[in-house]
Parts: sequence; C-alpha cells; structure tokens
Amino acid sequence: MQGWVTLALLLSLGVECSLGQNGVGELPVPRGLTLNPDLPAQTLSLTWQSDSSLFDLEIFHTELMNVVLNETVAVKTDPVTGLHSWTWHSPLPLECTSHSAHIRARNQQSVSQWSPLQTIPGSDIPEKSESNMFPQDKVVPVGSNMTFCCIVKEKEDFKEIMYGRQEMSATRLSRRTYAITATNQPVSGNTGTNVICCSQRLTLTGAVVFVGYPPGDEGLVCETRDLASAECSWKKGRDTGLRMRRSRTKYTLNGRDCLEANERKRWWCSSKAWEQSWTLVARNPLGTVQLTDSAQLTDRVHLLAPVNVTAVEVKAWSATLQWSWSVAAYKKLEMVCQLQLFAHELNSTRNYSGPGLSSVVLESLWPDVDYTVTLYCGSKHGFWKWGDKSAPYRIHTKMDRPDALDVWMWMDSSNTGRVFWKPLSVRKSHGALVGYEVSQSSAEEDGWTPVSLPPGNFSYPIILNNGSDITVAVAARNPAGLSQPSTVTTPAYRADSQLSMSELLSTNGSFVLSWQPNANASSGYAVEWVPTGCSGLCPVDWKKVPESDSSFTLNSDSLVAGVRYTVSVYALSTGAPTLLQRWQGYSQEMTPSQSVRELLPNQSGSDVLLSWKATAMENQRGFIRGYTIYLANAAHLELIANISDPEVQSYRVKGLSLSSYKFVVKAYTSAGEDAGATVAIKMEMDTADMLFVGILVPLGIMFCCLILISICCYKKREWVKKAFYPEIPGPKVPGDWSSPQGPLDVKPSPHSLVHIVESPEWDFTKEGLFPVPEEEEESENDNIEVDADSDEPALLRYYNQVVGDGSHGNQVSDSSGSSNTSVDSTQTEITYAGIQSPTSSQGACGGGGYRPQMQSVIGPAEPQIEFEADFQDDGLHAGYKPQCSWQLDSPEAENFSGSLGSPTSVTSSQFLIPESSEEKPQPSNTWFHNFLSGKS
Amino acid sequence: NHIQNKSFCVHNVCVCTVYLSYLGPPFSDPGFSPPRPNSSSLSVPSAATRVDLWRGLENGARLAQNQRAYSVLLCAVRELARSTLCPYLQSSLMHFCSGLSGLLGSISGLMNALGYTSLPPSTPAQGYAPLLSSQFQNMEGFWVLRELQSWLWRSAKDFTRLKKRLQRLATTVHGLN
Repeated sequence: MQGWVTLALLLSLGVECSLGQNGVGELPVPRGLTLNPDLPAQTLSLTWQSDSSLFDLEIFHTELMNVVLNETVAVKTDPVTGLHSWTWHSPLPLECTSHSAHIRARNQQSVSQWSPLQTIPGSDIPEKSESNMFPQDKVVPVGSNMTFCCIVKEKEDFKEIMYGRQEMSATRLSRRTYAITATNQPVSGNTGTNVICCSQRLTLTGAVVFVGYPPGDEGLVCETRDLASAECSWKKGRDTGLRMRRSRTKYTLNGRDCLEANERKRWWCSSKAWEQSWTLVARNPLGTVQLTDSAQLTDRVHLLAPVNVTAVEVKAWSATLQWSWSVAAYKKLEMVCQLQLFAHELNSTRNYSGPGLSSVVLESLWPDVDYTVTLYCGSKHGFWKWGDKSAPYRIHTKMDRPDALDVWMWMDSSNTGRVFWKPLSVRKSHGALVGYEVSQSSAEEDGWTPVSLPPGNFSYPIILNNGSDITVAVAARNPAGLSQPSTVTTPAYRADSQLSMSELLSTNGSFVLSWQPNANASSGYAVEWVPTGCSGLCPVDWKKVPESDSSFTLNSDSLVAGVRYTVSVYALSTGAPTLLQRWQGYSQEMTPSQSVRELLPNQSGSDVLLSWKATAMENQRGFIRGYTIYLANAAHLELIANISDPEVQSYRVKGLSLSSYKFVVKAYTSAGEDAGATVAIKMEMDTADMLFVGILVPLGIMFCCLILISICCYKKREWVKKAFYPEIPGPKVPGDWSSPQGPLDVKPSPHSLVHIVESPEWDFTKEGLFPVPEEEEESENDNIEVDADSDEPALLRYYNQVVGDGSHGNQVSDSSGSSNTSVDSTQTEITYAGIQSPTSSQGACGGGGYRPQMQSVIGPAEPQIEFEADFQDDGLHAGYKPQCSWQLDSPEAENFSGSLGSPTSVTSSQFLIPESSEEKPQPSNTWFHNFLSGKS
Repeated sequence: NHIQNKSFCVHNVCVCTVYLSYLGPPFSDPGFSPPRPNSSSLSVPSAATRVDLWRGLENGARLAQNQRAYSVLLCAVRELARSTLCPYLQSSLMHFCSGLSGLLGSISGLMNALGYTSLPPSTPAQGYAPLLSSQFQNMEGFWVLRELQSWLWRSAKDFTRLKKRLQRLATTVHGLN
C-alpha cells in the first residue's frame, strides 16, 4: 500500500515538474488585449498589459480561422501608458473579412496561456449584405503588389475579379470574400485602373487603384525680374501618372503654397520678396521631393525686354536708337545690352553698357540698307543671363553718294577701244544707281564732253580721231548724288602679233603671274585678261594691283575652262597705261570641241596624202599639241601616225593596195583627242592597169577555161556520152529479126492509136481519159505487155488504191499492144497519147527512144481536146523528161491549166508531167551551156 | 434619331464612346454592364419603364417625364464634364450639354403650347458633392450615358408619336369646324 502511495506522489511531482517546465501557471496571461484598426493604412494596432516583454501573437481570418500571422515579438512596456503596443500591417484590407487576434507571454521556452480572442468585424458580416470591394481609390507606386478583395452580396455567387482587362485568380477568404493580388502594377491611365468583381450574371462591384510615381521634379532656380520679387522655376521631371485632383503633386515654396503650380499646372512659383534661400517641396501620395536654391538678388537679375524701341535719328552711316524700361528700378542698374543687326549679308552684333541704358548710337551702318534691330540686356555685375528680347525694330539708313568706279580701257585696234567699269556692289553704290556719266577729253579739245548712260551699261566705245590719247572719266549717279569720277587714259594699242607672247600654264585652274617691277608704275599695275581673238563687245576683265606688288594670281572663278585668254600687265601712272608683258593661256585645257577642218585625201599611185586644217581657235579649247591619224577598220581604229608638230597638217599614207580606206584624223591637246574627222577613199588603178586587169585578164581566163573544158570533154567523151546521152536499148523482138522476112510494114499499129472518149459510167462532173482501142473487137489481153522497167511497186500500189475506188476501175480497156505503151500488168493502165505516132514520137522526145514512165502524178482528169493540143506544143521543145518526181494533187484551176498536155494516168486521172515552168526539167545540156557562158 | 445623332456625336465621334474609352477597361469593353448605382446621388430617372406602361401614359405625363429626365441628365452630364481631366472630352461634353439644354427648352415650349404644366428650370445643386469613390463615379458616368442614350431613343419615338396624334387631332378639329 505504501508503495502505491509513494508511486502516486512521485507521479504527481513528475506531472507538476513537467507542467512547470511548460510554464503553465507561471507566466501570467497578457491582459486587456485591444485591437485598433487603421483601415486606410491597413494596419492593426494591438495593445495589452503584461509584465513580460516577449510575446507570441496570432492573427486569424476569423471566419475560416486561417492563421495569417504567427509571430514572436519583443515589446517593451510604454513607460507613459504602461501598455504594450504592436502594430501589424496587413496585406489585405482589414474590411475584407473579420480579423481575430490573441496573445500570450513567452519567457524563453515557457509561455503563458493565450489571451481571449479579440475580433474586429469585416464588411462581410451578415449585417452588411451588399457587395463591396476593398481598397477603394488607393494610390500606390508603380511596380508594387496589391491585394484586392471582393465581398459578394448575400445570395449571390462569385465568378471572377478583373484587374483592368486581366482576369485574376481569386482566393476565398470567407463565405462571401474573395481576394486577388496584383503584382508589379503598371502605371494607370487618366482615371486609374479599374478592378471589377463579377458574379455569374452581372457585375457586382468594383474599385479603382491609381498606380503612379512619386514626384520627379528637379532643378530649382530662383531669379528676379523686377529687382525686388522672386520667381522660382524648375523642371517637372518624370510624369507621376497621377491625374486625379487629390493625387496630383502639390508644391510649396518656403512653406507657402505655390498657386501657380498647384492651380495652373505651371512649373514656377513667385514670391513677393527676395529671400536668400529657397526650398521647394513637391509632394504627392507616393512621395516627396525637396529642392533648394540660394543666391543674392544681384546675381539673379533677369531683365525684362526693352519696350518702345525707336530710332530717333537715322543717317546714311549711323542711327540713334532709344528705348524704355517697364521697371523703374532698372534705371540705376549697371547693365550691358546687346544689339543684333540683321541685314542682307550685313549681320552684326554690338555690345553697349551703362547704367540704366536706354539709348545707343549705332555707328558704321551702311547707307540705304534695311536693318532689323533686336535688343536685350543683362546685369553687368554678377551677370546671370540675357534678358528677354525686344520686339524687332526696322531701320532703313539714308542713301549716300556712290563710291568711285573701277574703270579700265581696252583697245581693240589702234584707234578704237572701249572704256569699261565694274558694277558697284550694294556696299559701294549706297543707293540704287540711276545711271553713269562718261566724259572724255583729248589734248586737242578743251573741256569734257559728258554722256549720260542708263544704269545697265558698263562700257562705252571710244574712238581716237587723230591718234592722240583720250582721257575718259566715268562717275556713277544715285539719288544722293554723283560719285567721284574715275579717269583712265587710252593705252597704246599693241596687237598680239607685235609681241612675243609666252604660253601661260595654269596652276589648278589659276594663272600665277609675275613681272619685273616697273619704275613708271606710280599708280600700280593693272592686270587685264580677255578671251584671245575676241572682237567687239568682249568680256574684258581687269584687276588693279598696288605698285608694291609685282605678282598676281588670277583665280579660276574669273576664267572659263577651255577658253584661251590673253593676259596683259600694264604699268599705271598719271598718263596712259604702259604694256609690260602679255601671255596667252588656258586656265583648264579641254579636248577640242570640233575636229580638224577640210580633211582631204589625195591619191598618188599607191599613196594617199591626207591634208587638213586646224579647227578655229574658239573650238580648240587648248593648245593643239599634234595630230593622230588612224585607219578605221570595221571595229576599231588603227593608229598609223602621231604628228607631234601642230604646224604639220598633212600626212602621206604609203603603200596602199587597191581597196577602200577610211582615215580618221584627230587633233589633241593636253586634255586629249577630239572626236576626229573621217575621210574615205577608194584606191583606183591607173587607166592602163584598169584596161589590162579589167578586160584582158578575164578574156584570157575565159579562153583558157574553154580550152580546158574542150580538152576534158574530148578525152572523156565516152563518159559524157554515157552520162548525158545513154544508149537506148533496142527493142527485143521474139523471133528472128535479123533477116527480114518480108518487107517491113511501117504502117502504125492499129493498137497504138489512142482514142479518148468519155466514159458513160464516169461522174459527169469529172472528165477522164480512157484509152480506147481503135478496134474494140480485139481481145484485151492480146496486146498487153508488161513494162518491167517502169512501174515501181509502191507506185503501183498507190495507183491501185486510187483506181480501186473509182467506178471505172474495171473498165480498163486495152492499150496499145506495142511495147511503147506503159500499161502495167493487171491493175493500172497508163497511156501516152499518140506515142506510137512516128512523127509525134520523134518530135516530142528530141533524141527519141524509150522513155520509162516513172512519174506518178495525181491530178484531175482534163478535157481531151486541150490535152491533145498542149501535148503537141510541149513535145516540140521539152526534150527528154525523166518523170521522177511527185506532183501533188491540186484541184485549183491554175494547176489544172498548168498541167495541160501532160501525159495522164488513165485510172488515176493525174497529170504525169507538170507543165509549169518552174518544174519543167531543164534540157540535159543546159548546165553545160551555162557553164560555158559563165552563168551560174 | 435626329436628336440622338445630332447631339450625341461630335465630329463623327460619339461622346459616349470617347467617354467610355476615357474610363478605361472594362468600361470600354463591349457588353460590359456595371451595376446601376443605387444611391440617391444618382437621381437619373431610368428609362427602363415597361413599354406598355409607358405607352399608357398621357401625352402630358410622358412629356413631363421627358422633361424631368433631361433636367437631371443635363446636370449629370455637366458634372461629368466638370470632373473630366481630358480637355478634349470636356469640351465635347460641354458641347453636348448645350444640345441637351436646347432639347429641354423645346420640350418646355411644347408643353406650354399644349397647355401642360412644365417643371420650373432646375438650378445646379450648390455646395460640395459628397466624396464618392472613383469606382462609384465611373459607374455613375457609365450609367448617365447609358440612360441618356435610352432616353434619346425613347424621346425620338415619343415625339414622332405625339406629332402624329396632334396631326390627327388637328385634322379632326379642322373637319369639325
């Protein structure tokens, strides 16, 4: 029994020890836990009383008792209130669902009991039956994550939550609450981002979130415009993306609201008084930016624009400009002003300074010029920046007398010349010119003879009556008056031929001239250049060089490429200019624009002498360095000579044979050859040669040929005879014909005659020839003889087919019983009309003899009468006609008529020998005659 | 149709479309229909009355309802214009308001001519509007425009029907005389 008691005590102690180790009963439970939610901030403040300083906290979503926080925190007692407080930031708006929390004290491993649960109700409690969404109108930075919840109306189902157009996956938090989390949110549009909660059939509710940036303003600068107040400006920086009034950036300058920026959306603020330092605070719901600036007032003067700018006194060469200031304080300010003068090619900028500057004298203006003046000023001491520009003001200066003209005289002969002057530039005319006055005087005449010329003239002709020098004075006139006259005395005329001119080579298109200084050049030198050989109104140009210079570079821009210039240097003095030196040259040589002239060939035996003349100087476009002579072949030019002496203008081409030739002569300069002049020549023989070659030689050749052919024919006469006149085999007659048994009856065989009759069975539309024996009572077979030499099997087959179709095929009558008849064995009957007639047979065949009928010609039948008549004609001149070609059937009348007289197949109705001239066989000796006569 | 086409579109772009684009998705999505705010602040009379009931009304009653609806809608559209941040849309809405104002004047003139009692011209509400959530304002704007569209369609039919009735009546009166 004692043992059981002892065991019970030990167990109880053990339990107590174990309980004591867990802390139950030792650590007091925190008291008075209260929850204070801050709904907009989504924070929950917990306050409680306890002696401990380490606590375990648990927060739940009440309805489903999901733990959303389980944390151990060390919280000290607030010495003032004696309470512990701890704040939890909820990722979920606290309205979304009810939250409950409890707390327990912890001391290392020992903990107290949990305090009773404290709950704050959400908006999903049954008392709030409507749909709702949280948070509403939250402003968050771009890229942040955010949780939205939708509380579904009672008795309504839930389908989805849309973030903009994006369907989000929702999490259920309670019976009616669903939540989504939008991550890395992009910047919103004007009206924020819509988040919409939908049921299966309708949209339930929604919220708007504004996603943007904190202020990005920068670069605060303050300055004064009136030397008293301040204007501070800055750059807006990055757009916050927040448009709604309550989330726009608000600005304060030194603690005062900046109305200009807040109300008028401008990026500057004004202050009535200058302060040493400035602080701008830009604030929006997402952040704050603070900008500072500090400066002395005198260092930040930004002057306003001058007003009432006027020109009080405008002259030809100067003007006085006045203006006023809208701020009285400027009058004592030491300032610097800048004037910008704009005119055509006369732009300039001038600086003026002084206290309260309000007028300046503009010097060094040009007469009769339209100026536009713009004015702006700045503080001279501690210059900050130029002030605003005044409105442009226009000044037109008055006119003045023109400058003296640059005059030169050019003599084109000993007693004629022309005085030239250069047009005055705008800077020198000082007003639009109205004309020129030219006066001349000579030693013999007293006084000047003035002539007025319109403003477009720049030269005037001069004539020397008696060879004495003339002095010409030229002056320009504009509305302001006449310029100083410029005088020039006629220089002595020196023709180019009188001078030894040197060739002037250009350097990069320019002429570099130099000459020996002349003691008489008291007024300097004049360089004159004019196209060589020019007469009349020539483009004379000149340049006057000071007496200290003895060189001059004539630039390419006053020269034309490919034009030869005569360049002269004159020494100028009080009297007439004296010619010092003269050159000729091209600024840039080019190939001649025209070929040589008058290119002529002259045959001399087997040689050809080519002669030509150089092209005109204006077409040479460079110094002619020589000529090249080419022989033109079909595809290319063959160089046959290169004449490097331009004075040589002929060339002899030697040893040419009798043929046609084409020669090309090209002149060349240092730039190359011209296109070339072409001349053609046909080399001809002399008269004696022509007689020999043209007549005797062909005659001799022909004679030799005739003899050769004759000899050849004689020696080969057997072959010739066999080839052209073969032996006609004699008829083989059965029986012994060697000795006459009786007098030869030369009476024609009664069977050899052919009667041509119309067949009563034949189609009346087709007329045919039918051999009809003269004596019909004779048997058909008695006189038929097969001609083994004539009919080819193919031809016979063909005839067979044609004849077989005819209705008259079986009406073949007997032909002649003699061997001359070419009737075939059993199927085809062909006949020669009148072939047995001794007269007609001899006449038709020329040489007579046997004629195998090998030609198969298909053709329509023809009238009997015509056939007989034409055959007779044909037979008189046709000679031997081997019938070895096919003539296609042709129903046309012309072919029909063309075949009249031809031997005709009785059964095929074809012409056997065509009559057309084209197909008429030549007589056997025709080629031989042609050969002898030289015909081809 | 004439009223609707002339007044609801500016420069061939309907204000409704522009405004919904301004509200952003899903308001600008076709077929989107948010819940009609059930708040006293949105006193826009609904045009969703049953057709048979609407047709059963007398001319005077129907004209009076038209007048009341457009008075409220005019104020609502002005508020939309005022709160709009986009200057172009704001000017379009103001232009549309002037058209609505003209329509309202025509209805009043017609009612007076027919001897019906017209409502006194409404004055803009003074004082600060209650602070509403942006979502609520968006939905309200959406519904203002939707109701406006419905009313414009209905008014077009109403005025056509009224014109026929009056012509018939005038013919009858003329025949009796």
